[in-house]
Amino acid sequence: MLDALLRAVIRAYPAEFRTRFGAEMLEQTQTSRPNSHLTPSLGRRRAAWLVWDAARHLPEAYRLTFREGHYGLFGEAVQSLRRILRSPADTGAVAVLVILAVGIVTAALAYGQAVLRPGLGLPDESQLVILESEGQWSRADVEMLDRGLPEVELVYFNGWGHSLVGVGDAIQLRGALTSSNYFEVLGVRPGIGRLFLPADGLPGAEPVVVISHELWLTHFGADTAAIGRILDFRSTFHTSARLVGVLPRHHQPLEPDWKVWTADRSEAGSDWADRRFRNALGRRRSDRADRGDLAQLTNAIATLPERRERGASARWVSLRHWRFGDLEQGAELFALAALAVLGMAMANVVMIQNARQLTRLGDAATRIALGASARRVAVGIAVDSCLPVLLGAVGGIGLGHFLISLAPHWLPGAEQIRTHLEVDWRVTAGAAGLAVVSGLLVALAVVRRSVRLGLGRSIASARGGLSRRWATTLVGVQVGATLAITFLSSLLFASIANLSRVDPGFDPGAVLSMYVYASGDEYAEPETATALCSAIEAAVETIPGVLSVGSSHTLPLTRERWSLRVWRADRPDTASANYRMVSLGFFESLELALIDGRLPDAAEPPSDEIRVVLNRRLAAPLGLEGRLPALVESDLGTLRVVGVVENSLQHDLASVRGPEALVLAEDLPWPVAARYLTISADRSQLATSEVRQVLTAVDADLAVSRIVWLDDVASASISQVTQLSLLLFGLALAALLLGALGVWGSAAQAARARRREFGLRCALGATSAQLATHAMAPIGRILAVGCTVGGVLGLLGLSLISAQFYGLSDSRSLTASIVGAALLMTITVAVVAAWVPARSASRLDPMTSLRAD
Amino acid sequence: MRYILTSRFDIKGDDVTGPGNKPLTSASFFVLLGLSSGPKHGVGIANDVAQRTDGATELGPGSLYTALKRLLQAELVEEADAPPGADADPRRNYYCLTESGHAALAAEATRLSQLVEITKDLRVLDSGGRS
Repeated sequence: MLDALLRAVIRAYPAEFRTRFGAEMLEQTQTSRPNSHLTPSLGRRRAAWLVWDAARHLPEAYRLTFREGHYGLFGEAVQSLRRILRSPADTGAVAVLVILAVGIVTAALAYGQAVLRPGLGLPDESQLVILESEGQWSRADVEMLDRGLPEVELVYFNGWGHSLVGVGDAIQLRGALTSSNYFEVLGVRPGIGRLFLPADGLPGAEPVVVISHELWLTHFGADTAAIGRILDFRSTFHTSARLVGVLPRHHQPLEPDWKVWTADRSEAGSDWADRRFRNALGRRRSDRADRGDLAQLTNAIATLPERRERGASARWVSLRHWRFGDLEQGAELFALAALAVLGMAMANVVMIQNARQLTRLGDAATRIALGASARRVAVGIAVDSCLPVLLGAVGGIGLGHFLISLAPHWLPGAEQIRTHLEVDWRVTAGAAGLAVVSGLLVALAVVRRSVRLGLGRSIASARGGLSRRWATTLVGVQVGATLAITFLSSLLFASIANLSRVDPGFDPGAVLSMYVYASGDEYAEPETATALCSAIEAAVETIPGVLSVGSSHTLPLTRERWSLRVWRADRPDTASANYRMVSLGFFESLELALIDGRLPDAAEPPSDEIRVVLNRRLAAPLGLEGRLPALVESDLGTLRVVGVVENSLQHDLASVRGPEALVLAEDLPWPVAARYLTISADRSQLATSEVRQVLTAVDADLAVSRIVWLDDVASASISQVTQLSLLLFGLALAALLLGALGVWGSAAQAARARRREFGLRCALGATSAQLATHAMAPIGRILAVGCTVGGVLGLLGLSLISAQFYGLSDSRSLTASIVGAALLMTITVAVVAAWVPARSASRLDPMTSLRAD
Repeated sequence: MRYILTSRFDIKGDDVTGPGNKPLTSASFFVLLGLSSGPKHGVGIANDVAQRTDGATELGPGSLYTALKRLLQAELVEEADAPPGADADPRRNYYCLTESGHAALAAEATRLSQLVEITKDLRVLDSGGRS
């Protein structure tokens, strides 16, 4: 080992020193230990002394070598630094490009992450999946599936409303009723106190709740003594519960407005437990998902009683997709666009670096030919290449932070994303690393080229410049990426314009909505709950300015939806639809246009049938035109279709108007007095305070929340798409700038390389216009490559983001005009960028250009 | 004992500029001394020093070659052709003293002999090292 150590120490001596003395040093260490094998201990002591002697003279060896003028790698680096200081413009150009690239990509991806898929901050989030199918899952279903699926740990949950009384004013809260292992499977740890224990889910256990950190701050004054307190909650299942814990500050609930979580204590198989749960969530035991998962799921579902039909449609959906929907694809496209912009900037950096280092090709070849080590030359060029890039990377990180700090001032809805907005250091490090690696690669390429070409050809090659074919191809790819990003950004804008013009089938600006919840025990029966809702509607209708009042269990124009399967008894096929439980007044309050049959009437005698009104899109496949009233079967039981209304946009604007069933709430007993009121009113005359007064007069304990006009709900429903398009537009601008820079740089380099040729042409009588045409020649190839690459990238992007487009598939002329506009803009920018250096080249004085070479 | 002696090569302030200037380091002096009898390669110098001092002084690879480098830079030593009859190991470089090297060796030897005279006058050796 000592021998190896000694060799290592000798290898650490300066290269020049080793070249001169290294072999002798090794020889001496070998010959000075002739008898060490006879006296091992003496041999070891001697070897140790040799190591020590060699090691302690290392600094002196370096000092002597440096004094002699053999600078080695360090000296080479110093020389490169001096060279950089002598030409600050080139260095600055590279640094500025890298600053822009790293800064824009860091900020863009931080925005994208925050706006489009902020994530829930749960550990191993990719393992979390939602069991999606038509219909609902009961507790018994979930528990059986959990036993049948060893690779997945399942929990169940359902959004629920609670009224909290006795802590200040009564407050209506949204939360979730969950299985007792809900937080354990999500991987959430308590902020204060504890979360649910298995014993909390046993029938007869004491009711326990966990609250959000925000609720603990606002209603409990951040008092830790609140833990253990009995809280008076009004919901269907319990009236009081013990507060056992507070979630951590940064916990993101599965639904943004959840503030209370209750452990379900009902008995599996009981009627209520079978009806109330709609969501099953699982954690895979690994990240791996394959086809076997789905087959296993289908088999497990087949074992459930009366659930066989679900197996065909059930599937696992990632929790992120379930939570953030189609924006997941938008986020992917946005990330790809940001990376494309980074790639464009890096391509420009490589081109500039190459042009800078090419001037050193002849110098490098000369030095290598005279005996300098290629490694030393490479170090010099690498320092020259990497230092501006490193400076740019540091500046880019600063720029990224600055841009992120600006976001709340200009991005719509930035308040919501403020908490999610943070720098992803992996992105920053990746972008900076890419920049540095590109610098290193350029250095290696130049040295390799000079070694391969030899002295004479290297010097000639340095004059010739970078391979023009590669340069134009590289720039063409940049133009293609610019075209694709501009095209997709324009499509999104057109899509938003379409969305803002959507006619939802009613006037959302004339409908006020509010959530009303009655917490009294007397409303825990379906009859009394329904009667209260009718009384509320009647009272509100008396307010001046109110035209009509209705109610629904879900807020119109949002993603709140319940699904239903409907079929005719005489036909085998079924139709899937969203359904909404509505009051009699709902149709009038939204002024839905009747196209067949009639609307339900309060004067009709009571019956066991559930009355329903379908929209045109659902009525058509069922073949009910002209046959009303008619009976149809559904998951809810037999429905009596009394009328058909025009298709209206019941759900968020970004969704397509789909099949819809409006089930009359009076006919479907529901023991919860909680509704969204829809009040058709003259906006200028209606005061919300007056509505509150009237509601208090009906029942002083009524909790009223989320008072909002439906046009605001409609705007909010497309806010994320708007943000996506704005961000993509920003990237498109950056891409246009970088593409123009690439074309300009390439054209300028080509013009510089052909300066002598232009001088000759000019001397032989060529006009400026002819010279400019010659100089512009590469733009044809660049545009050809750009259009091809742009077309392919645009189509790929289109397939990723098509779910975000609204109203474009029906309008080919609009899509074609957007393609044309993006093409025109990109080509114009590219041609102008190429024309500037071409014009300069055409105006050169022939004598100057001929002498310069 | 020999390891203690070699540690004396750690003398600093060793800028060799020729006779009349700073004293030579022990390692430099021994290298010059080793070359005084004719051209030698590095290993030969080390062997010569060990032989002359009866093994009491050894030059390790670090001491020997940094001293040689220093002397080459100061032009007290220069590279030489291999003497006739020497083995033809291509790894070995031969060195010899320059005129400056001879002068520097003589100056250092004079300095050391003057020091010995002083110690004799002071009867340092007679008192067994105690004054």
